[in-house]
Amino acid sequence: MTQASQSYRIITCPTCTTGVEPCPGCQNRRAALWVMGRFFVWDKHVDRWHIAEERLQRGMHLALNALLLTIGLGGLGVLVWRLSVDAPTVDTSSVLGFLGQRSLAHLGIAISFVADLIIISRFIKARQNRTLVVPRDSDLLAVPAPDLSWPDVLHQQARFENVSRAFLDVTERAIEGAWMFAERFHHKEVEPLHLFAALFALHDTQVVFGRLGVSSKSLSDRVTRALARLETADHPPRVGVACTSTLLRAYLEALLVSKPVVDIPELIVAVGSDAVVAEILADLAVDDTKLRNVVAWISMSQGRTRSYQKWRRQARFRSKGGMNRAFTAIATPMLDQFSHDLTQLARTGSLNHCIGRDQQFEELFRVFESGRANPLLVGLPGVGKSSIVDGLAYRMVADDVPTVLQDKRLVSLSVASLAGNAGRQGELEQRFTIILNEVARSGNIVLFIDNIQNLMGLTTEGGSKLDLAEMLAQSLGHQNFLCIATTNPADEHRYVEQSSLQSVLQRVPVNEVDTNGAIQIVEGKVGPVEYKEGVLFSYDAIEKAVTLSQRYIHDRYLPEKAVSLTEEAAVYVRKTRGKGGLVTGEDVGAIVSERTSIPVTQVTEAETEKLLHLEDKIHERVVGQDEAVKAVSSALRRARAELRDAKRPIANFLFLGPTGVGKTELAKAVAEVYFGNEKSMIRLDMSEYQVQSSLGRLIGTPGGDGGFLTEAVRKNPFTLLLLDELEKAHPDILNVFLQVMDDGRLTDSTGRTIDFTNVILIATSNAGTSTIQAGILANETLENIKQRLVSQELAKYFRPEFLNRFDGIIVFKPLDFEQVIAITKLMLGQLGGILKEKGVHLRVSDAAVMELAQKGFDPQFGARPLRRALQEHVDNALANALLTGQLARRDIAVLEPGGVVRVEKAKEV
Amino acid sequence: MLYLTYSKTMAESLATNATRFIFREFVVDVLFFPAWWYGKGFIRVGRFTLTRIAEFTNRSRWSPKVWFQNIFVPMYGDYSRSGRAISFAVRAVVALALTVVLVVAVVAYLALFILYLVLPIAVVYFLLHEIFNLPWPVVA
Repeated sequence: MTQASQSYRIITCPTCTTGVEPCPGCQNRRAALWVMGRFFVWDKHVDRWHIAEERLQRGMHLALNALLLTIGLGGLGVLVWRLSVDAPTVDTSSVLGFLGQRSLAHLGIAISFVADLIIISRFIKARQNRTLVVPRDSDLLAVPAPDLSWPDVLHQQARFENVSRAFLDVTERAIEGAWMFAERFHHKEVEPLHLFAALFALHDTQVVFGRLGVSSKSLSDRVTRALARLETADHPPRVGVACTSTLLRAYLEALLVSKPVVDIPELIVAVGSDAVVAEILADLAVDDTKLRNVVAWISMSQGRTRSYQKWRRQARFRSKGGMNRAFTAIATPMLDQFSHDLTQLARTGSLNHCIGRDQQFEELFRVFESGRANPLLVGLPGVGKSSIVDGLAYRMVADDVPTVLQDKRLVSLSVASLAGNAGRQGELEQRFTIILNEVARSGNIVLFIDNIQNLMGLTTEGGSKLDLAEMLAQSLGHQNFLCIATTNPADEHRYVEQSSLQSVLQRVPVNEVDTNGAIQIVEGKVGPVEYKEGVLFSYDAIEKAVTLSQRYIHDRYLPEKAVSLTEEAAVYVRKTRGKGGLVTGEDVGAIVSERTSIPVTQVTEAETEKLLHLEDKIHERVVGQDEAVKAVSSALRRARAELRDAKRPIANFLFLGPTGVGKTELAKAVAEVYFGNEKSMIRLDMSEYQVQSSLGRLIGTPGGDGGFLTEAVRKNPFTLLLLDELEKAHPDILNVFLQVMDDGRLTDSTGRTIDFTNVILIATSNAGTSTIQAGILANETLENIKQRLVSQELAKYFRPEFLNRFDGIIVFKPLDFEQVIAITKLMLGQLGGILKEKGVHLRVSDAAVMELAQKGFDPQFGARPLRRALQEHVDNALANALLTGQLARRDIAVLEPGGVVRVEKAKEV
Repeated sequence: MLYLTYSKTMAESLATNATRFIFREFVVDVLFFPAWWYGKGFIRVGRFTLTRIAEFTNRSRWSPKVWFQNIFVPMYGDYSRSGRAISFAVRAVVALALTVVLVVAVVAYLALFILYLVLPIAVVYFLLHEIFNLPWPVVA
């Protein structure tokens, strides 16, 4: 449409709105479409009389057909009846003799014959495909539209072409319906909104909105409200300027996609671009692209039915057995044992249908026709290599292939079963030689070898020096037969390029399809899934399957990963909502969330609540450090509302501060609150990565397994990555994180790109602790301390560009005594939780809390000594009491100053 | 005045539509149906017949063409002398038999096409015979 927006123009009459009839400015043309240097108008009367007349005409047309059919068949009936009565033997002479008689009945029969001929001609005419939309001319379409005003247009009146005849009967009826809507509401003009309302009564439109997942009630409510706002008048409605423009736009849509007539899909798209209708649709989360894609989907499935019928007609000519038409092929018993005939499977429709891929087929055929080499489809798993081969089988059945492939069969060799039970020495090689000979001698076989790298190095133990790949290469080198093979880029590089197959195979790359291509493929593939599971897919589900899998599933490829998502979603919906359920984008989102544990569904009310009170939730574990808690919470909220840069990690934070102030604790709290579990965290102690060679442990070593970091993130992409004591890492390792923070991805040693865009990266460091402590003592603001740290202390460890990549450098304050008391209470609370599991209640006096806080507080080590103090003074005493049996179920342990645990015994049960 | 003009335009338009409809349905379709029959209809049916014959000759399993093309090519990949001889004989017989089938098929298609051409003439003649008593063929 971008091209179209420059190459066409709809010019409207400025005086039409004055209400004078007929408009002196345009003689009721209202609008004109300029495209390809021509002027098109929609010139037709729509009013009560014309509608009645059209209906009468339609009725009369049908009545005339019925009349002709009755006369025609009646005459034939009379003829047969009279013949059976009058002529005992039916032969030419008796029939001719009978017909030669002259009577009124015979005259009737003669007239009925004429009626027969007329009805035959009328039926043939009706079946004829008429082309009423002018053909698309790409050269002319490239011409930009001139700046025209209405008077300029009127000057060209003689050149006006009326497009009203290009509208199919059903669209005409929709226009009539629109007028009647306008009349019922006493509206002044027929607007696109009326057309939209009228269209909604049609089955095709309901299918479109059904696919869009729009409920008819919410749509009709909005349309009714919008209709109520339109201007009324006391005269019958007239077709308005906007409505005429919409009809011209529908014609333009048909022209642009080379449709012979204007049908309902074009009208839907055109109506959807009207401002009022677009607003209603936007309210229901439907935009122009979605509408167009769904309309294209419906048209595509209709087109596919037609092309399938054509394919069936063509496939009739295919011989049923494996023999070619010339009977030159030979029996291939050995090959038959270890293969299956794809063309036979295609003939019975058992293979998957291949959608699109025209470019790949062209390339494939070019390689075959060149005669020098055989195509090798190279692509990542799931990009559609097998699908292309299946598509080739379908085309071969219909002989819709170059001569070199016609009347041949495509046979898929199963390397696994060939190698599987070859036990004797040299048996495998012998079998393969026989197969190659059979294929060569038969002459009508195109051999397909999936994953050709499996042939490399395949020999029986102690067998010949040549492996099967070498044998195949020799045979193909002699151009004995045609072969098509597949492999993936890594194996191609590792095996095929090193072998002699390299010279006989020509690489045909099969790349991952783009988003729109994948959507189209998935649209084509959901039909059978819908049939099998008894569910219906909304467009949103398909779009989400593609976009979410593209974003969150990185170890598989489009379109396969999206197709498998839709299959899973269909089963899920059938099981949860039963047959007839609609698969929505949310269902697909739920499946993705389940697989990746990334929340991608819409934010629920409970989650909103949680997100809005994230700070409180975190403060249940972390005392103080408000700035840090706030920064982290805001980052998480931004991420969930999709207001972040999707090409970077969710957030990159650097926590600075002395030990024991809660840096790691905050990271754990975030993991627990947001990811559900404090263990949902990858924790790297950077002091273990002080030498450059430790990089291998992070991202893996060439030839070895993946690295610790890359594997962990690949398996769980939605996680918190905690880099403890970052300043201790080797500078080269810091560079790796520079890329992670900037691009959100990292390539491991095997060449796989790992996605880090759903990771929260938190690095902690206690570099500059003394500066912080000194600053706090001198009552400096945190902002000042931070500035000083970044410019002086941190510069010793990190390069400026590295520090720049952090979304926030957060300084943790040393804890004051009040905070230590709070932490003591928190820790005692945790201890109480543990005791509760044993059935024991813990009560702590304020004096005891105070004493513990004093013992555990150290300005230098923060709250770290507190845990030790708790262990020494509380845990030990409690453990003793439990072991000696002083403390039993239902007892209350009262902690008093001096580390004394007093037991309040419960009553015996 | 304006309203009158509108009505006049409307009446004119209604009349034009009606005339067009009557012309299309009754004049073109009914009275002048032979014009279509021997014009566009002729082209359509002719094209249909030719396509069917071409399909039969070139692509069908019953086509003798491929047998003639491969008359000296041994069947079932048997390149031995006897194999060649037997193949030639078999191919010749099959090719001739299929030629007969082809001829029958082509004649049948052509007959249908000729029937299409003759039918209106025969029907009109029959009608005229009933009205004006034109001579009628009698088969002995």
